Amino acid sequence: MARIAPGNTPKLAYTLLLVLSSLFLYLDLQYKSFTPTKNFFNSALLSSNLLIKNIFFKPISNLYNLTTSKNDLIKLNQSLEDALEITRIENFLVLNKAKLFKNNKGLINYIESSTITSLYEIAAVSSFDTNQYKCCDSHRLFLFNNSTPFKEGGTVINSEGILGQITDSNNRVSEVILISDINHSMPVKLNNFFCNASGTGRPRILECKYDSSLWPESFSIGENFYSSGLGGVFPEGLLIGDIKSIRIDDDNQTIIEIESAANPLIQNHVMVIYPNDFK
Amino acid sequence: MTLNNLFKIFVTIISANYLDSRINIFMLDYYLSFSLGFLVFCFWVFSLPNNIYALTSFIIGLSIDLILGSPFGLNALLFTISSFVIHSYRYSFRIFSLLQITIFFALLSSFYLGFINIFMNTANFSYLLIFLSFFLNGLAWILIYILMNKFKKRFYR
Repeated sequence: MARIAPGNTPKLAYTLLLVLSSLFLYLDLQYKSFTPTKNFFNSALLSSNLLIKNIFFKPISNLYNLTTSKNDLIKLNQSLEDALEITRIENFLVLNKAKLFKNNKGLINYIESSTITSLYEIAAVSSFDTNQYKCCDSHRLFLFNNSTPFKEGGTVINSEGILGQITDSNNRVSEVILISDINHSMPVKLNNFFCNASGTGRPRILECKYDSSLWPESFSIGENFYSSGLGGVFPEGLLIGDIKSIRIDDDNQTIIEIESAANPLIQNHVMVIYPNDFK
Repeated sequence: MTLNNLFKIFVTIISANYLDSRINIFMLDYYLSFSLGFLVFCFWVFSLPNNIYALTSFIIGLSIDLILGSPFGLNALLFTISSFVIHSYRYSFRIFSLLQITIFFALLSSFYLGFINIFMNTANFSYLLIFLSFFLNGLAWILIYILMNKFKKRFYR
């Protein structure tokens, strides 16, 4: 017969630590009490990673490259790749200029009161947990700051469309919440139909839920949804994605699944634009 | 337990966690998920029951929470619970066959995965993933058991 708990297992210590860890968990989930600690740790980890790479690994790889006489070509290739990525994003900005710079009274007021002066900034992705992106509800991306930290609320785009928005910054890195994150919601539209597209926690998938008795709209798979600009964060009229599926849930509500046009896995550079880009 | 040994244990768990994150990207499409880091931790508690108790489990769990960016206290809670369960059955393991031990740890890893998914993937919780991962982690346990025993004989003093 199996013994449930042998005599020398310190039950009191286990009980105390179980209570303590539950308390930590509650505080983190309810009040995000440990977010600054985590961000500080992340930032320190990234800095040390970068330092170790630059001091130890880069000279070794450079030495190897020198011996194989490919160093210059590799450098040139890398710089061309970076330049191409940046050009792709800038092209996106130019192509969508009419939509991005659309006049909006509410936003103009915001711009006038805003202290942000730069039009847009190119940023390099510092870390992206692809495993968490695929497995879990939380979809976050970290960017290296340029000379100054990115401001909260900045829209993050890549060459395919909107990725998300800046939620938090410290001296070294800024956190981006992706539009597919379970806690993210953005106002979108299709012709005269408006709804809030919430992240589902699945890669690139957003969901619009509405009562079909109130909105007698009909949609078909493949139709495009655009940002409505009503939230004041994202510019109006930008392509968000197309309808992937339509279903009716148990509460008789219609759920439209939208597949985001932008894939965060394709590029190492993104662009951060602020509301005063609309000027 | 010396600090040196604790460091070795910690490094093996972190390495297994890193391996987890690299492999699981591809496995998740097939409703499979490894929990190698957790299984390595279980191995150490299983093979060194007199050295790893509540506080060590709690600290290892908390460090993993910090490194992985998961909700603070989640791994600490699960590692402490698992450590207690393993300690509770440590005398029974002596009469268990390898198959029974494998089933025990596969069940424990399913419990771990289920709990992690409840907190981190609530909206897309999948029973299929937990069920299929039970078999995968059972197989992984056998491999970990063999490899870690070799590691322990060679490096653990």
